[in-house]
Amino acid sequence: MADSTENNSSYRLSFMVPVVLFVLFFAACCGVIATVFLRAAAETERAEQYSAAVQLCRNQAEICRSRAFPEADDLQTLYFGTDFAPASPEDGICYLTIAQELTETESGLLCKNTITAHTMDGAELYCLEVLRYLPDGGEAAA
Amino acid sequence: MKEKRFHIGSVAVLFSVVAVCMAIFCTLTMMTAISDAKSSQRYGEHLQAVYRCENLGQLWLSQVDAHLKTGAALPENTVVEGSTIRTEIISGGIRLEILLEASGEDYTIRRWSCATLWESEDSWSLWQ
Repeated sequence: MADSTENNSSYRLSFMVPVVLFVLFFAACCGVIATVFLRAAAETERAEQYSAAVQLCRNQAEICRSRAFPEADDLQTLYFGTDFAPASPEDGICYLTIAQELTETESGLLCKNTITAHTMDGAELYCLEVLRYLPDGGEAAA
Repeated sequence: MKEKRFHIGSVAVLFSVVAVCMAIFCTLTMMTAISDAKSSQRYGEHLQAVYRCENLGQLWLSQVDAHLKTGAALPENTVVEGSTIRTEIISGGIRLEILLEASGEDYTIRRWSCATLWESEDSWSLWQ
């Protein structure tokens, strides 16, 4: 009788140990894989945001460059929402700031616009500098 | 004496296969994410290089305009042929070619061409 109980216990142990080890190993694998998936998702989101920032800066740069003379609109802060369409400051997920620097030359005006994309917490995403020459300070075109 | 052995059943084998598949998928996902990030980074850098080159072009234009209006010195790397004034600006792997047609104090931009520099690989023949 005692021998039978010992055999049962030994059998249960030899069955449970590999199962527990396997479950632990599987849980560890799942943890590592989940971490890698989360990092990949974060990386993809970062790339998407950077790509959108590049595109938004480029759009704004072309708007600034197409103007024949400096405008007050050039200096505003623009907010963009989740689909990177213009949004209110409350709904924005990123914003563009545009700084303007005017330098007089012998025959006209050099207008330098620095367009910077930021996340809502103020971190810089991308920056683009656009220089355009305005003959006669843009007066002729205006 | 009863032999002790590991009891690995079909469920364990199935779970192992699932774990391996998930590992492969997560590796592929990570590689795609890294590739996307690198690609957008490269595009951003390329755009900055293009705008740097364009900015140099605008600076050149201002100097040429000053030359036409006030007689100031022409910028370096400027070629004058009759009434045409041209230059080639190379910066950050981008080449900007500008050609102006001058008439008195005014000018007309005939060409403003910005392109990426590249070298043809002709050391080997494709059809042989």
